[in-house]
Amino acid sequence: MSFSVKRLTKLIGNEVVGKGHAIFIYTITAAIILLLIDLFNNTALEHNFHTGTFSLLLFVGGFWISSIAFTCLHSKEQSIFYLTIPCSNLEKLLSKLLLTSIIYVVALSAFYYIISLLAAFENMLVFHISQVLFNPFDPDVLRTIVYYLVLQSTFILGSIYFKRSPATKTILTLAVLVLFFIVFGFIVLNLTTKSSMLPPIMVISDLMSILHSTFLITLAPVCWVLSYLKLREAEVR
Amino acid sequence: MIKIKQISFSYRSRQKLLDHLDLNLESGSVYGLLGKNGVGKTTLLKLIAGLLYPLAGECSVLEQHPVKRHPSFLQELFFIPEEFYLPHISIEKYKKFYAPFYKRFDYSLFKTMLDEFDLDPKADLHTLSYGQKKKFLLAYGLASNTKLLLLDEPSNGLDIPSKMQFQRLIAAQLTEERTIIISTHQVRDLENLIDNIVILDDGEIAFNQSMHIIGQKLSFKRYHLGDIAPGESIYRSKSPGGNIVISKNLDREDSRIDLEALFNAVIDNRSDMVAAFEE
Repeated sequence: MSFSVKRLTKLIGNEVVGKGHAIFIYTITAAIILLLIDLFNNTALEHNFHTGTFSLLLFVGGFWISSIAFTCLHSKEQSIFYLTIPCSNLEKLLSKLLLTSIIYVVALSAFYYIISLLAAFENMLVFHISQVLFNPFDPDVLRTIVYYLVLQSTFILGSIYFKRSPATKTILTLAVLVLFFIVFGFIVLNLTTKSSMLPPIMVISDLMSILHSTFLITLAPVCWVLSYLKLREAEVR
Repeated sequence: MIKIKQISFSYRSRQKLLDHLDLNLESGSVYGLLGKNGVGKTTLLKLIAGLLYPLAGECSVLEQHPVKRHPSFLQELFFIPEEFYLPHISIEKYKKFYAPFYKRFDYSLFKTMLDEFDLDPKADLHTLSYGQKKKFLLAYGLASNTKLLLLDEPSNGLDIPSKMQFQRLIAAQLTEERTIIISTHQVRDLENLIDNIVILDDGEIAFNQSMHIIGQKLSFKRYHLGDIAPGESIYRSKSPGGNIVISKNLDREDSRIDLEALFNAVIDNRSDMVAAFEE
């Protein structure tokens, strides 16, 4: 497995600069919409207003960019171009992964903080109302970011795996998996409560806690490894 | 440079396209890869480039396994497919973004070739015509100074002066370390360029000889329509402009090799052609 920080940063730089025009347009559009929403919502904002709006942008925008990260692999011409760039598969995966996870989260947090600052200034100036600012280090925001980073890995895998409508197919796959785990959980729960005489509420709580921890710890690494293996196997047919 | 042993490949639900194919190619040559439509020329190029996994057999290129797509391998490979993708950026930006990945990229040569092909470095790649895009890729591929250059139908879309420029530039950039494989139907465009002929037929290499050996072993003679060609021949073609007869070059005469006739001779009468080279 070959890895070079220089090649990785070059790849990331190329992606950002290559899509600079689109990023600029989306950023300006989002900024205008957010400032307009804030102007019409000219009240002293609740603490969770920013967390909610930020989470919405984080999940919708992040899942969308993650699900189109590897569309190049599903076009014959683009995949020849992409797969013959002199970088390792690991560098290619990491560049897309970092862009759609950590870099996206940091950039969105900075962007949203500036928007909240502008919105507060705008409301102070027009309506003389003082508004709370967005705090990217708020525990609720940090918890949201952790959930995003975990779930985002499934969209990266979906983007490599599914040729058409990767976002829809990833969401459907996740829904089927969640349904499977609920049914599986109920079956295990039924068997456990029959064999031991533990109070059901305790068993449910323990089971949920185990599932939750397992989900948080294992889902992302499993998706990253599967994504790497799938990228390594990529062909131009 | 390229060692292919018993390689087999097929696309889903199709019979084997390549069947236990063997091929050895040395560096310092321009190979013309010829074959009928759908015979697997592009597939063979993709296998060499590591863009396809063979079903069986071994493929070693520059002493590496192409499918691993190791950066050190990709730094020495440039593949120009017949249908290609170019990002929405200018030629200058493309060079700035992607040339640093090739350790021996020759910036001054790239500039010279852009001038020769009359391409504006500030032009957006998406505003260029198909032929101009191809010229850009040829200039970029040659300037990348990779040890292996794979060209799939490179003369398609090029105008007549550009075809001449292309031949001249390829010939000028060939070094002892470099191998160029050109897959093409338009053999006449590349007659003066190719120094080895590889013909793919029925899933295997039907013919692999240097132009020098072909010239030594075979004689190509042209006769006007109505004239009767004397002596034994391996292949006789009838065309509106005259007949071409390929026979064994027993008198060691120099004759101009007709690649179209050679190709047809291998496809129509492979056993006699192979026998002519074994003697």
